Formats: sequence, C-alpha cells, structure tokens
Amino acid sequence: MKQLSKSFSTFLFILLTGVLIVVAFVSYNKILQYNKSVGAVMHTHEVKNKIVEVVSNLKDAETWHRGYFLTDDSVFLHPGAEERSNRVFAALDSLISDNPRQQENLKKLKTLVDERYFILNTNLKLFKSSSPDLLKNAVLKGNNKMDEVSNHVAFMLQTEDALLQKSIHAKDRTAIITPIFLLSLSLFSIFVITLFFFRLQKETRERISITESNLLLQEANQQIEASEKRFRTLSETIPHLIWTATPDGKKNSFNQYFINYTGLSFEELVGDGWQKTIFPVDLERELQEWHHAIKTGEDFKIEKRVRHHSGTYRWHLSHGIAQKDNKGTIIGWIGTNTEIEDQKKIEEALAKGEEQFRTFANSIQNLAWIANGEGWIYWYNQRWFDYTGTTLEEMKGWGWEKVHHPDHIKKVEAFVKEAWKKDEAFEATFLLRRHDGEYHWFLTRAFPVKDANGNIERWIGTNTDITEQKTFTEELETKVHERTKELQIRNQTFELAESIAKFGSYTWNIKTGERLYSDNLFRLLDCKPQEFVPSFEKFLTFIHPDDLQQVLNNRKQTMQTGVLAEPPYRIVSKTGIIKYFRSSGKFSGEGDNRMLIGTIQDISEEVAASKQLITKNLELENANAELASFSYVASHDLQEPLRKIQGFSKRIIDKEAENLSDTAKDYFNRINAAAKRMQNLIESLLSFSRTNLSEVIFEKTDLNKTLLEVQTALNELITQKNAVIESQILPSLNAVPVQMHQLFLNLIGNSLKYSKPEVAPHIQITAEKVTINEITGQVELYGEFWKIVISDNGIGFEQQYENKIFELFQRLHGKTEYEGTGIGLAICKKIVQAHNGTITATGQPGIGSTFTFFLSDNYKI
Amino acid sequence: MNHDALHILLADDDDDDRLFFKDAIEEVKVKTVVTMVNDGVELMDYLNKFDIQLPNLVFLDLNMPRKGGMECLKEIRSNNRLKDISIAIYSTSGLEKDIEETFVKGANIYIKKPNDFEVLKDILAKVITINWQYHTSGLNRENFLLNIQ
Repeated sequence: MKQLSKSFSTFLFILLTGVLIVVAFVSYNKILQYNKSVGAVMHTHEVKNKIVEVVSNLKDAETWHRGYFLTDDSVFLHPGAEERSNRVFAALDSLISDNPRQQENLKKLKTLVDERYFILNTNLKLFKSSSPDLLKNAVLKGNNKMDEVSNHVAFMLQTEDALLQKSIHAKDRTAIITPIFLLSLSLFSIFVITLFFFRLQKETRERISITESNLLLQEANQQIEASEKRFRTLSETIPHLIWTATPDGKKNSFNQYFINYTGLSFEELVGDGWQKTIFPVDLERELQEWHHAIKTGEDFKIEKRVRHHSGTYRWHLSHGIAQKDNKGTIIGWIGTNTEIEDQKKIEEALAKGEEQFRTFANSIQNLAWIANGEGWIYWYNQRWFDYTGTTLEEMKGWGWEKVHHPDHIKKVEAFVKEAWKKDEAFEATFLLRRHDGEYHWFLTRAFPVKDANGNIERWIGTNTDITEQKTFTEELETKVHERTKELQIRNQTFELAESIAKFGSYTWNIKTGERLYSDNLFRLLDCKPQEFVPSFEKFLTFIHPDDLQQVLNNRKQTMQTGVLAEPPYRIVSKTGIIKYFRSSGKFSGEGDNRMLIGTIQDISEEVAASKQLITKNLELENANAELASFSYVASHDLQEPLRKIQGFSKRIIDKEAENLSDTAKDYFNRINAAAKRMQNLIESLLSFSRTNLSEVIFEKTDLNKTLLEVQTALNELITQKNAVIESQILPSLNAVPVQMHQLFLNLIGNSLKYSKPEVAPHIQITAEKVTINEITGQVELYGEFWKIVISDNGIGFEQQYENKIFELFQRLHGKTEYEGTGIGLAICKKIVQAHNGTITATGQPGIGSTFTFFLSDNYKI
Repeated sequence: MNHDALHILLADDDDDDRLFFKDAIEEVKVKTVVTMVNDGVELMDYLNKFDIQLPNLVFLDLNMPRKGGMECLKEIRSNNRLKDISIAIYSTSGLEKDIEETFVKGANIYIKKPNDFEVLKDILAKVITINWQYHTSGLNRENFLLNIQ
C-alpha cells in the first residue's frame, strides 16, 4: 500500500514536470510565433512605405522637373532623386528578399521607375533644345510611364496588403489561441500541483503515523516476544503435553514434557512421527478427526491412548485449536494432551460398578427396581419381569400399578404418593400378581439415594416375597433340627475322643469371663462332669504349688501377646494324684465375641516316658564312656603283653637258634603267630568299636580316590596274587572318609583273601543311581541311593550263610586255611548302617561272592 | 661322659621295653651313651640338674606312673634351658588322639613301639642318624609318625 502511494506520487511528480516543460515550450513557441506575426505585419508596412517612398521620390522628381520647365530656373532641379530612389530600391530588395513574387514585381517596378527617370532626363535635354513638339510627345510619354508606374505600385501595394492581411490574421489567431492554451495549461498545472501538494501532505501525515506505528509495532513485538518466552517457559514446565502443528497438520514442536513423557526425541516425533505413540486403534479415529479439523479449522478434541515411555498406554484428552490471522487463514495449530488416565479409570470403575450393581440386582432373590426422584420407575431387575411376566415397556413409570391387586391399588397409590414426598426409607406390604395370575404378599423396602446437595436423585427398592420366606423359614427350622441332632452325635463322638486321648476342652469368653469345660476336663481333674462352675480361680486350686507361679506367668504372657504359652505344668487332682497337663488354644472372634478356645491334655504318660528316655540316654552315655576307656585299655594295655610275647619269642629264636631244637623253634613260631593274631583281633575290635563314635565328620568323599588309596594299601597283596581290579566311575558322597576307606579295604581285602588258590583274583566294582524300589534289606530306606557292587571270582560261600558272615566273630573257614578275625564284614555292615544304608551278600561256592551296598546320595546326620 | 658319643635318654617305666631298647641300641653301630629313667618325675629331676650335660635326644614313653610323657613334654617345651632338646615319643599307643596331641605340643617324632626286635633296631638306627635340625624345620603331620615296616 505504501509502495503504491509512493509510485503514484512519483507519477504525479513526473506528470507535473512534463506539463511544466510543455507549458514553457509552448509559451516560448507561441510568443515566438506572435512576434513573428507582428514582425511580418511591420515588415509589410515597411515594404509598403518603401514602395510609397519610391513613388513619392518619383513624384518629387516630376515636381522638380515641372518647376524647372515652368521657370526654367535650375534651382528647381534637385539632383539625387534617382540616387535616393536606388537606395530605397536596395532596402526594398533586402526587405522582400524572402518573397520571390514581390521581387519579380520589384524588378519590374525598378525597370518602370528607371524608364521614367530616363524619360525625365530626356525631357530635360529636350527642354533645352527647345523643340516643343518633341517635348510635348516626350512629356506625354512620361505621363504614360508614370501611369504605368502608379498601376504597378498599386498592384504591389495590393499584394503587400494581401500579405499584411494574412499576417494580421495569423497574428490575431495566435494572439487568441496562445493565451487560451497557456491558461488551460496553467490551470492544469495548478491542478496537478494542488493534487501533488495534497498527496505529499497526505504522505507526510502517513509517514508520521507509520513512524508512530513502527514504534508501537516494536513495542508490540517486544511484548509478543516476552509473552512467547513466557509461553515457552510455561509450556516447558507445566505437566501437560503441548504441541504445535503447521496448517497442513504436520506437528513441528513439542514441549519438553511431551518428549520426556513419550521418551522419544524431537526428530522421532516431528511431522507424523508422533503417530507411533498413539494406540493403534485410537490412531485411525484420531487421524480422521484431525484431517477434518485441518480442513474446516474447527477445534480438534479427542480422547486417545498415548504410549508412555514406560511402554504403557495411558488415556489422554487431546485438544487442538487453529491459530488464524486477521483474514481468518489458518497459520498453525496449537494443542495440548492432558492425561486423563485416572478419570478414565474412575469412569470405568463407575461403569463397572453400575454393571456390578445390575448383575448383583439380577442375581438376588428379591424383585428390585430403581425410580427417579419423583418415583418414576425406570429400571426393574430381571426377577421382576420373570415374576410378573411383563416387560419394561409395560412397567415403566407407573406401569407397576397393573400388577397390583385391584382391591388394594387405591390404598397403595395413596401410600406411595405420600412416601415419595418424604425423603426417608419406607416399607410397605402389598399383593403382587404373578405371571400365572396368583397373588403373593410382598414386603417392599425403598431407600432414597441423595446427591451431593441432599436432593433425592433416585429410589432403590426391593420387593420380597413373604409367602416364600415363610416356607423358607419352616425349611430352615427343619434343617436346624437336623443339624442339631447331627451336632449332638458329633459332640458325643468328640467326648469319646476326649476320654480316649485324655484331653478336655474349654472355651473362655474374654469379655464376660464365662468359661465352659467339657465333661472330660472335669474327669481329668478326677471330678464329676460339671461338678463345679468353671473359673480361673477354681482351676488354680488344682495347680501343683511348685508350678503355681509358672502358670500365673504363662497366663500373663498369654494375655499380653495373644499367643498361648504352652509349657507343661503339674496339677493335683481331687483324689490327690499328681498329673502333668499341657494347655493349648487359640483366640478367635472380635470384641464381645473374643474367645479363647482350647484343650487341656493330660501328658503324664508322655512326661513319664520322656523321663525314662532321659535316664536311658544317661545310661547310654555312661556305656559309651566305658567303651571309650575300654578302647584305650584295649589299644594300650592289652597290646603291651602281646608285644612282649612276640618280642621275646623272636629274640629267643634269633639269639638262641643254635641252642633250640626244631620243635622248640616251631613252638616259638606258633607262639608268635598266636600273639600276632591276638593283636589283629584287638585292633579289629578297636576299629569296630570306633565306627559308632559320635564325633565322626561327614564330608564330601570321592570314592574313586578312596578306592585308589585302598589299592595302594593293598598293593603288595595285589601284586603277589596277580589280581585285577576293574571299577566304573564311582560317585562322590557325603560320608565319613575314614570309614569309606575301611569299607573298601575290608571288602576288597576279603576278595583278595578268599581267592581260589590257582586263579588270579578278578574284582569288579560297579556303581549306579537307584530309587527305593530296587533296595532290599532290613533297613528302611527312602529317596535316591547309590548302589555299589563289588564282586569277585573267589571261593564264594553258601547263600544260607549270608546273614552269618556279617555277624561279629563269625567265620566260615578255619584259621589255618584263611586268616581272619571274623570282624571285617561286621565292621562293613556297621559302617554302611552308620551311613543310613544297607549291605547284602550273595555267593556261590567255587564261583564267587558279590557284596552289594547302598549309600545315600547326600546323607546327613 | 664321653663327649664324642651321642647322649640318648630313655624315659620308660616298662622294664622289658628298657631291655629291648638297650639291646637294640647296642647293636646299632653308632657311638652312644644311654641314660634311662623310670618315669616322668625321674626324667624331670634328671634334666633339671645343672651339673649334667643335656641329652641330644630323649625317647619319651607316654604312659608312665607319677608323671606321664605328655606332661613331661609340656614342661620341657616350656623350659628355656630344655626346650631345644629333640624329643621322640616312644609309645605302645597308636591312637590318633595321642599322635595329634604330642605333635601339637612340640614333639619331634612319634614312634609306635614295634613288635619286632629287628624293626626296633632299624627305627633306632634311623632316628639316631636323623639330622634333627633339618627334620624339625620340615616337620609336618605326615612325616611326624615314623613308619618302618
């Protein structure tokens, strides 16, 4: 607009300048033209004057001549008329140099004038010669010439006049047109100048106002900037998702909260990127609404689920508003998303609550209904329809009157009308018609539901069929009777149980202090059933004086902690027998119904048994101590003499060999052998007794390692007998390492010992994991076990001796055939049993023996 | 006293064992001087005399009347003058408990009295010729019990 005015001003200025130039030029031209016209007139006048001067000069000359003729006085003869005439002609010639026609005329005139002057001069000569006739002719001739000159001059003047006339006309025309033209141009210039002036003035004014506007604009811009800054700060700090979008719906900015909330970067969200945060089902709906908003510029509002950075979708209310300029063109969008998850949840919960209520209302036995504040019923439960055989359409509003008994309806109407007016619950009894036409009595209960202001929002009511209830009550009574009978039987059973198990039961109401004892509890106190009124004080009289304090303490503790303390205590029964009792019980119920219900058991036998057990344990401990000292004696003192016997007999054989007979030597060797056997026996016995020492330590034992150690220990014998020992990979078990060593040593030692004389011993060891089903033997076993089998190709044994070989000091062979103490296998059995396992043996004489033992995988004491 | 001979002291209440010991040591071809005492009390009395040359090696029976070997061992090891004497336990007992205890209390070697006289000779020969300084520095539970078959 400013530009437009500027170009218009420029145009005006150029126009004005142009007009002024034209005015100046035209004025100059016109004045010049006028001058020229005036000049032309004057020129014509001058030419005429000169022509007239020519004639007058000629006339002068004639006059002079005449005077001379008349007077003959030469005074009259003025010479030079001819010369003057020539000068005039020269001037004329230059004057009319621009007019060829007049020049032609002038030339002719000159000739005529020259001829006249010649005639005059001739006349003068003739006059002197005094020939009157000749003169007369000559004068006549001169007069004719004069006439000729006069005619020609008249013609020339006429021509000049015509010229003059033309010039005057031209001059006059110029004189009229030029002022008009100039005036009009001047007026036009004035108009343009005025226009220009106003224009300028207007522009100046505008310029001033623009400057002012600029200042205002600047200020406004600052304010906008500040407000924008405030907006940004606000949008960054408020816990709402804020976004802006371009007019075509591409989102182009998000506040920090938006970015934090979605966990996506600006680059991921920009444009259409935000769409991936919308729950897919909601996105379709949103895009539809969004496109509609973009097209129409209407506000955009939608509820949708937005993905939180945690990956969960939450409900949001998205609200977008178009930003428009003055002309109403959309220049962008700004919008917010507000999380409404909680509202949604509440709404859902409400909806659910409503649904639950309906379900509940439909599931109850009663007829139920809901009316608005005016008593207009708009909902019935299904049972109402089932009972009355009607539909909601029929029943809506006051339709319920149709199923009332016609004799009572007036009364009911009156009652209900009154009831609606009050805002309190009411009850009424009336007849309602069943779908088959039968009437039943119903008890109606209605409760008002009030809104926050205390106005009744609706009424909820139920109708209970009292007819049915009556029947139900009867049924209930029958059932109670049956149950009572049942209970009596149970009580009897319980009583029997009490007397057999020697316990009594009691209840104690904490609030009232009322106590009930079962019959058997009285019996335990050697009283007759219900002989006295139960009370704590009375019960205390039975407590053994030494235990009284303990019982009181227990009671105190029980009341404080709410947990019954149950250590045993003694009582003295009515007949003076001391018995051990133990109470147990549980608190139940709250407030007035808080009860302690429990049992009191006579544990006298238990106590006696446990006393006996303690005594036995003591005895056992003593026995063990004796055994320990026996072990020491056996290991130390018993071996001492044996060592001596061996030592001295050996010394005798060595030192006194030459003094002894062969028989004596043999006897000494036998003494030695016997003493050695005795020593073996003692050592074996010692190790047997040590296997049940309680201080043995179970630890992870690698049986492969144990086997290797045993093989090393038996190396000499193995080499000597050329024996082969084959073994599978053995397990690692929780066991006593020393005892495992003893076990393998004894079994493999046996196999080597009882080998066939000419056959190299072949011993095979296998191990596998088995379950209880495969285990036989005396010991009861549970769980998973390792079955380890050691078999040989030795002399074997008769199967009937299987058990005997595990017994202490039992031998199947003579000492001279096979050395042995008869303790080795007994030790094996003891070791296996100490590991909660079992051992069995199978044998076939001459073929071999197989020893199988089972050891627990991870046995713990 | 012969200063070149190895001075050995045996504390044992058993007459027979002392006899065996004496016979065996005489047959070992090392120059020795053997002193014998009958029990722990006698042993300590002897060692606490200031005018004697201390023995190079003491063979100590555990089971003795009046004062046992275990007690003597404790007293010797806690006595500054006596604590460096090499002590070989010489007992009938082969109980783990005894071996363990004497090792802990600072005995240098444990000898279970052998049945065989020849074995006894071998043992004594070996014990007498042991470089005690070397043996003591490398002493552990495994080599503590002298085992000669």
